[in-house]
Amino acid sequence: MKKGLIAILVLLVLGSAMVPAWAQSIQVSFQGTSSARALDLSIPALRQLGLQDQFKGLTVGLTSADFSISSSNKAVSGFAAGKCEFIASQPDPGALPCDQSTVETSSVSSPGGNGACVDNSSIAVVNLATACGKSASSLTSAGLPSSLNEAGVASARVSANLADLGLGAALGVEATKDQLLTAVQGLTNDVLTKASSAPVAGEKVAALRDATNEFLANVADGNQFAVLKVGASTTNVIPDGSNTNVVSEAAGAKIGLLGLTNALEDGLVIVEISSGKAMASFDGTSGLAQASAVGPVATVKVRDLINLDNNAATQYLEVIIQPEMLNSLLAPLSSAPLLETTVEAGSHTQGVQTGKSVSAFASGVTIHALKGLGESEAGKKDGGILLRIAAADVRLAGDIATTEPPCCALATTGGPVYGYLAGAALMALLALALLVYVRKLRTTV
Amino acid sequence: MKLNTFLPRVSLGRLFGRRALAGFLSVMAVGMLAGAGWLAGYPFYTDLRAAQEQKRLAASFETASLKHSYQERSFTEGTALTRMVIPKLNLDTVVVEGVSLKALAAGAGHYPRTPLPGELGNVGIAGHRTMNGKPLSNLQKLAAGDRIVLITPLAQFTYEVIPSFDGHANPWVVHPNDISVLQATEEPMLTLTTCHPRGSAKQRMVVRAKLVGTEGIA
Repeated sequence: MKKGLIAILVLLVLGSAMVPAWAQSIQVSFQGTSSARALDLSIPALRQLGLQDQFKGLTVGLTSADFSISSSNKAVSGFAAGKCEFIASQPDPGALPCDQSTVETSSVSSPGGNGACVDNSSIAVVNLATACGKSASSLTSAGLPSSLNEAGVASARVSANLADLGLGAALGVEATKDQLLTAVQGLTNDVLTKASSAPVAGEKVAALRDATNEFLANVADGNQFAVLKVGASTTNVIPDGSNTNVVSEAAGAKIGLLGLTNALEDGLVIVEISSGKAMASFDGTSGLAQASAVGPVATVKVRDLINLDNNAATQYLEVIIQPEMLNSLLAPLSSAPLLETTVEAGSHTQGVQTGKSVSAFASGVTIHALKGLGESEAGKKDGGILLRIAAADVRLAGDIATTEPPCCALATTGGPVYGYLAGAALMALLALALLVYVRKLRTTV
Repeated sequence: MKLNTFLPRVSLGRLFGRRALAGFLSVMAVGMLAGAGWLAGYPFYTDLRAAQEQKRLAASFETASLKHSYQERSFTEGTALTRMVIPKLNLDTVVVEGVSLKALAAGAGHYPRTPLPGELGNVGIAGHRTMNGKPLSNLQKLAAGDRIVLITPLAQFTYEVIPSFDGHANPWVVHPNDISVLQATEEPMLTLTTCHPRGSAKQRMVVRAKLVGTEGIA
């Protein structure tokens, strides 16, 4: 009996020592971060108006997402801000100087998705239509991260009076005016050359100068320094089967400079910028990541003031500036210090990266327009309006590891029910035998 | 053979010794009878305990904290993880996280480090075949095409027992140390294990099913 009891006890002790049983498993871990910006805007020309302290710049449409997936930790978070003060680098999202009424953050514990918007708002000479940020993040039932973030403004208008900015006064000086007219003529010629058309010559030179002169005079009286229509920025983390796809995209912009009634439609120079996109994907089966980027393309349009294209429907002469193509198109404007403008379609990641750790970026298009307006010192060309449009980046790293189980057995799930019953029967029999023995013992006393 | 044959003829002093011995043996016999009763009743006690635990787990299953645990992927041993429904076995039980003896007192447990229900890979669940509610008592009755439903606060996942594969039947029997049955799979699978033969931990019976449907829960 004792042996039986001991055996049962030993069985129980051994049973508890045999668990837990672990499974051999493949551990997939990956992490990434991604962000996009629709527009960074600063207006050094506001020095001319003494407003430089009121408007220190603006970042519009800022989105980002971060995620980290492993067996011990699964986290995903998103951020979307409609408008912020100018952000030179990418600081901690929690410390960004953004208008909180246009900001939404999200995480696994706070999924978000409601959006935050502010209608018309003004900062000094800059008027913003509806600014919104919307962010939603979660983990799927398969444990993969999902984050959808979108932010932007409907439009941005810089309404500084050009006369106040110094253009009107400059145009009153014949020497400066001549420079401007020459610059516009050179610009127009450059566009025509790139468009394989004949440069301006003969009597058209005088006609162009007159038209430019008249146009600039009208502009100087107007209120159309710059008008921007900026697309939203999105940063999305999207699970797809065992893959996780990350796409950051800034949808580009249209910028009109020196307009008559609406610079987006009738500006002397209109720049259209396509979207900049950075993409990455992590394959949860192979453990490899891929990344690539598409850089934004800038299309510069110069108003065809005297219908040089001999096409009645054509109002603008245009040329496309490919990514990483330095701006030579606008070089003629450098002969007129006030109007000097550069457009640079920045670099972006070439080809497709594949590996355990990848990254891609599209640095956006940088426009520094009308550098001579409001410069800090004569000839320094640090005035005007500075824009960076459609920037996006993504970084992703991951791996797969097969882990061996720390233990060696499947769970013990078969209670020795028959052993218990047999032990009970045996014990009962022994007890009965003892009772009989006791009875006999007492009988003999 | 008569017992008193062996009883010695003794003096008065020994008489008191016999009475004491008889008393001691009587107490011992009663104790053994009580022990026998405990041994006989223990399996039924574990069933009752498991039933009570299932009631508690079913109540906790309805709370928001479980949904939060899924979102955070953070479970502690012994907490409710998923409801497992097997119509063929007339089974509806709450599966807890972990497969320790303590965790499995509730009946069925999820192997840690295997995926959560519905995830890619091989979800491992162990269940008692005897005692502790014996949820997988009749696991051997499952056959290809039978449905196993795992219900979580996020979704309902339907698995279907697959036909024989890799040269063996399904269900099939393995050595207790054959943890390869829980190896990760490329497709979302479910593996149930229980002890075999019934009432013994000598072997394990295994059933493999694959995910055939997911239905979100509002």
